[in-house]
Amino acid sequence: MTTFQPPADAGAPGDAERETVIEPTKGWIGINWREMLHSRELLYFLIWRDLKVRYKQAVLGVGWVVLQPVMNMILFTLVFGSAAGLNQRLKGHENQYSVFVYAALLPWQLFATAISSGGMSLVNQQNIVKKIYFPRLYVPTAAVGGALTDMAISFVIVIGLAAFKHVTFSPLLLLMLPLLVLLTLLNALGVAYLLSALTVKYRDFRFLIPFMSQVLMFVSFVAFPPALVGNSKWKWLLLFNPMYGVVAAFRKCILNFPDSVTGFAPQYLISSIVGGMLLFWVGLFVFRRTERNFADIA
Amino acid sequence: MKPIITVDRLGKAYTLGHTVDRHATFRDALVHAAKAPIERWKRRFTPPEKRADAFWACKDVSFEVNRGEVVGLVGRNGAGKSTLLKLLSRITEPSEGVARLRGRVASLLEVGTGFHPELTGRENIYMNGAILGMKRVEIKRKFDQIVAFAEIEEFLDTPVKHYSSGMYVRLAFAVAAHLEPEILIVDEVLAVGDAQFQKRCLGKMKEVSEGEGRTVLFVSHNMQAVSTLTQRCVLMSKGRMAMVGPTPDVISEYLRQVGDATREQVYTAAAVPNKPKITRVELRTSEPNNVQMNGRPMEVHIELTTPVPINGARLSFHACNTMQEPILYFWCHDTEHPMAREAGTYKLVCRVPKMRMFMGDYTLRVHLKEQAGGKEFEVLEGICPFEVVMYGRDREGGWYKNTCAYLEEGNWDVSKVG
Repeated sequence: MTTFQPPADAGAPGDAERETVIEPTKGWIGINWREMLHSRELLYFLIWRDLKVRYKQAVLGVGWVVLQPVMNMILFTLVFGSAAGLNQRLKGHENQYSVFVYAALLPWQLFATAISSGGMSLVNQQNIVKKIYFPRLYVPTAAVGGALTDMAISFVIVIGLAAFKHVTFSPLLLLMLPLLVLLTLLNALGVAYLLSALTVKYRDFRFLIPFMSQVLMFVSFVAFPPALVGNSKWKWLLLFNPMYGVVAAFRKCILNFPDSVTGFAPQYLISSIVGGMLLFWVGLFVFRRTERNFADIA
Repeated sequence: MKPIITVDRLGKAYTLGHTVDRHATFRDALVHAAKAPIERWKRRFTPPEKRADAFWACKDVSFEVNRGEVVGLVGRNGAGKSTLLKLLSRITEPSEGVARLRGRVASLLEVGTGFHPELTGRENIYMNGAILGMKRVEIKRKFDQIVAFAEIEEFLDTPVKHYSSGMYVRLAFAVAAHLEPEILIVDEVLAVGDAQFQKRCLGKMKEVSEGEGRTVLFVSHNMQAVSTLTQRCVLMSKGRMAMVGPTPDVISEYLRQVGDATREQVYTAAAVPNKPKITRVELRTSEPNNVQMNGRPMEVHIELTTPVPINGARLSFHACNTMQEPILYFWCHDTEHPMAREAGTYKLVCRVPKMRMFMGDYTLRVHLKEQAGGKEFEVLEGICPFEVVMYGRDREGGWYKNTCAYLEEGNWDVSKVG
């Protein structure tokens, strides 16, 4: 090689002449979409690496993707459904408690991964963050993105299980699922951005996160029916948990159970949408504010 | 043409007293917030640079780098070099000032950033390339070159956790070296790897800058590497920019700064009333702090004081290596340069026009004697330690200690005879 030729795929024309200005930033920091788009392959590689590495040296390997929710489902069905007799709360669907739980695990698992893996993602990868610059927003994004593949596998299982349990699907409602997945992603990304940035700053979140995850699972009624709440005067508090609406909507769309069983109501869906957008923007804001000092405080 | 890198009064402040500013835990933050809200908010909105206890890791750094130039960044540990590189590679944000980089930047602050031990060599090449900012097609195109450079063909599909450290470093450097950035920022990567590999890395960096017209910003404590790779250097000292200029000048200044204060540069002794004595030996090296550049002049100034006339005085000195093996011999005899024929102090100066000893550490051994077969007055051993360096003398493949003891000039004639 004697002369320097810019690689044919070096990006947009004038890429070589692109000027990078490095100076202190103040206040709200926008997102550099151009840069994000330019290195979008990195997101793909980060997700791919996580998937590749996650089950290495595990005898069951990818089998764990299936086993984890299945074991959760069996546990919840036995403990809450049968032992505690909560299956009686599913009026007309008493023997479908397992699908009822599984349908909720779909969005919940994604959200739980966003909280745990997403929240710890930056701290876990601080050796990279401290040594090289790249769009760091991709780190928590990749953690959530990886969970999306788990969700796809779980979806196949839940549909099979539902068919096996004689659930009568509603095609129209099933078609709404992609939108619900997007809504779950909105919430999950928001919480991953927020927690990952906070964890870098305050390591307390490392201990707080598993606890938060547990509490949220209870108040999202993943393992037991929302009918338990009945007409409590505290029911309005559910509006402040965006995941409640998501979980209820998933049950409604996949299982086509009546709202009295799934606990679905339009106001909860609206709370999820508004809450999700709020969470997403707050998460993004906190992340970008903290990002300029990640390397110093990590 | 505009300079490819313009740095203007760049600075980065850190807060030293982390007890108040950086709350170790969330609880601390809460407690503090409750206790002294006003104080806290006041501090919260006071950036480090405005605080009384601010520590400036680097400040007021301004320089320019032209396209295709290789610029060295030198200085002692803690001088702010790494902070400066972190700022320029956007890992952390400056507290003040501005830097403009015109072109694609790749930084290599640590070899093997983003390598995952569980992934195979092949997988890590793609992963590492992506983190360094390469596109997949680009990595694919360079793949064979990278593998060849790293010499890991056989182990391509082995997880890198089973690699030897040498293989690991080779692979990591190979990926980074095959990036095609307009600006390459490199920090002390040559500190790792064996001599053979360091040689290839240096060669590759030279190829990148000379052959392909890239701009390289290069941090190293290895002055040999700095002197052969760069034409211009920035010297950092205590967070400030101490000097910008041609490499030899900056290296001289750097050597003066890092100089070993314990090195006795001048030997002195008091005269005694009853016998001749060497009272002073001063070595004048070409660089500060007893560092001698190979091929440059060197002087040895010796004073001897005698209370009585010496019969056929002979003064000589050796330059010895660390094994105390004599490498050079210089002498001054009364028969050629009449001296000490009456009591008094005499000064003898030995000028070496081109000091050709090979790189390494040396000391002087000085003898003072009478005529042959006579008395030996004094032998001084291991005085005036000095180091011979090869800075600025380039050789394909670099220099290694103990290759030889002495470097003579020679001319080659090559012709085809058959």
